[in-house]
Amino acid sequence: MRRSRIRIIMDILEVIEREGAARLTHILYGANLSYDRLVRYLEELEGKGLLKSEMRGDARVYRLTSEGAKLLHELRRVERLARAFGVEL
Amino acid sequence: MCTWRLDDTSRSLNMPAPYTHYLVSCLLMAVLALDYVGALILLPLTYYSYKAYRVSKVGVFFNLFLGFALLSSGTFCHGLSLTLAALGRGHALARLVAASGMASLVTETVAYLLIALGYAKASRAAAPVLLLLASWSSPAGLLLGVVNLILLTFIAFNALAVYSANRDKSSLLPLLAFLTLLASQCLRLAAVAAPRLALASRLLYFLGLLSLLYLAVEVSRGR
Repeated sequence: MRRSRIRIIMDILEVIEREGAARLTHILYGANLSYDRLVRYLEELEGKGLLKSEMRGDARVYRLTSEGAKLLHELRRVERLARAFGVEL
Repeated sequence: MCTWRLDDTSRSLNMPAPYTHYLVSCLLMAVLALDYVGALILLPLTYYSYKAYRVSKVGVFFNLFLGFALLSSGTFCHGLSLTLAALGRGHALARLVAASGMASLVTETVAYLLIALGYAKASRAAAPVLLLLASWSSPAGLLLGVVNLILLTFIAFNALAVYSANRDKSSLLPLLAFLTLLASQCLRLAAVAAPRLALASRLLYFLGLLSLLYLAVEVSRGR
């Protein structure tokens, strides 16, 4: 089944939350996205202040900002409400 | 709407009028409390539906938001009409009581219609709702009651379908709520013939709202 944009964003944010500081390859496998699509999403989320990235050694890692953590919390509420009323996200 | 008459109640209960007056006052206060608390109970779910719409832009949540907001207003209007009725007599007041009572019924019907449309959107089954819309034509109270009954039946069937599909506790709560509201609506219609059923109807309505409050608590809970 094709995932919605909101579902993909939630998957990305969840992987980063789980890892604390997540490398791109970890997010790639966790969110099950192609490299190009993932980079586009990460740029967008970073641009909106939901993620921040930094260099750790020779690899770039991503962390959630407080805004990103807040959005993930909201998305989980949306998911629970959607499940209760049979809404597909 | 409250359809009790003091004389009828005195005769049916075989009690002197002052005692009956006291009993009716107590019942009125109980229904009033249920209405005002019920209106408040719906606010958290209204808020979460609105937030869900803002975050996801999924139209079903907007239907649920409007539906629960109107249901809350309808419940408040019902309490208001009873409060006005308890305040005293008078021509202007009687008109106000009738208007707020009718407003509560119309608001409830529109609320159930919006929630039914939400379920139809979620299950992509718009045809049954269009059939229901055809029955939405007369402002008469009894007809509105029947329309509410049909809408609630449709909503309860959809909630049952959602629960049957995912067997999740969170989807059991709307099912319980709408089944209780449906039972309350049946009693409300039956109360036209037996006015004492009106209290039982409001009590069931309140229990349905409590299920929705529990759902709001479940939604707000962290992982």
